[in-house]
Amino acid sequence: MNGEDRPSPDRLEQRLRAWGADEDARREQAIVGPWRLKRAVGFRAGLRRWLPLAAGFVLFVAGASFFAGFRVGRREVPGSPDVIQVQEDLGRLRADLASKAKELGELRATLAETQTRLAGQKTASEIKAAKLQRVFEEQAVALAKEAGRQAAEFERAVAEKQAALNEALSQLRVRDERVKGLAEEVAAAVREAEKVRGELAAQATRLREIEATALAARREAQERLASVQAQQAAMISLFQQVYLAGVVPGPEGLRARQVAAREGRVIRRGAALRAGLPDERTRRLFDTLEALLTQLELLDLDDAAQRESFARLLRTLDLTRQVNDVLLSGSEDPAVKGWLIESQLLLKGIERAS
Amino acid sequence: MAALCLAAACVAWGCAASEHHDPRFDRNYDAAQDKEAFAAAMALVAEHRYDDAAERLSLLAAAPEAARDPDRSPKVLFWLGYCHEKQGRPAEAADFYRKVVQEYPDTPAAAQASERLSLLAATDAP
Repeated sequence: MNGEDRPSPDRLEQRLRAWGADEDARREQAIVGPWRLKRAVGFRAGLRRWLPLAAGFVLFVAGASFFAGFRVGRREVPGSPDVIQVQEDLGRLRADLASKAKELGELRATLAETQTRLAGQKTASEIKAAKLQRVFEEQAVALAKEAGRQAAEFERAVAEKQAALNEALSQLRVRDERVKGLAEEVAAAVREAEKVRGELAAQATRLREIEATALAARREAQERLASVQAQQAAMISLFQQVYLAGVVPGPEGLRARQVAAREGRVIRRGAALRAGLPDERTRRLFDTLEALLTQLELLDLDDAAQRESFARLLRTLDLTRQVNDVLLSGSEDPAVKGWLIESQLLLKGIERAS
Repeated sequence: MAALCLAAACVAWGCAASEHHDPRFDRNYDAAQDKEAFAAAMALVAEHRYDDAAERLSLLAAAPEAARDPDRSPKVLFWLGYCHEKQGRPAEAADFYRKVVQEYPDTPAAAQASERLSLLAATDAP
């Protein structure tokens, strides 16, 4: 018999109970005790009426028992393989039941132990929480005390600062009054200074007038001196011109002029002076003289044709008149006049060179 | 042998003469006309007619005779630079002056060109 063909424990138990009930019924029918004889008279009186029915019932029960014994009785007989199998199953089920009961007991013991442990832990936690709460309460009390102490100190400090502030304000008022007094003194001093400044300005104006007068006198004296010097230089140059023109108008005289112009850096000095000239006519004269001095510098003295061309050019330009016009105007700087005379001296007489 | 040496000497003399060519020996070269043109340009410079002077000087500079005359060429270039300078073109003037200094270093024109270059530099300096 495999597991699928084996009947379930419930079904077996039902069958076993039905079988037990039939056996009990059969045993009760078989056993008729003397205590039931007292009722036999009444029973016999009704027997005539109930007998056919009872006989019919007995026959029916007998037939049913026979039919049932024919259908089921073979397997329900103790000692048959099915009963043995059922008994074995029952034993196994009972063993399982005992095992499960034992397991249930163990589980209940474990549950009880766990509940005991949890109860212990709960108690420890509650104790710890109570301790913590107590600590917190103590700390809260300490903090409240500290806050109160600090608030008292703060109030005391504020009171001290307020007192110091009041003192400072009173001192400030005193100083303000002093400053007002000093400001009035300063205003008076400023008014006095303005008065002195005005007097100084008037004196400075007078001094400037005196200085301007002195400068004008000095400038006039310098111009007079320069004019005298220019006249002296003009006279000297005139003598030099006469000398050079009369004595050395030839190639040697030209070479001497070249050397003099080169050594005296006449062209460079003329360029520096020309940059500051305000008069256009003087600037043009400077340009002419610079060009002629440069031509003199580049003149090939061994070439008679070049000498003749240069002399002819000087003759056409009439430099003496142009230079004298500027010199006689008296408006130019003495250095300018000196350069003009020097240049005229260098070029004078070349127009007669051959 | 003596004739051969004489011929070689003639050939050497001819080569030397061709290297130091004097424009005055040129058949078409008119030295007097050239000098007159240069003198006229110098007169124009003295009269402040720098445009006309530069034109004449340019013609002289372009003439082949001027290019072969070591005395005339630096002067022509110098005066061209001078005309540019007086006309307010210092950069062009400096170019001519530098050319004179570089190509004809040992001439009076080169000395004058150097002088003008230093004057231009002093003028440009603040």
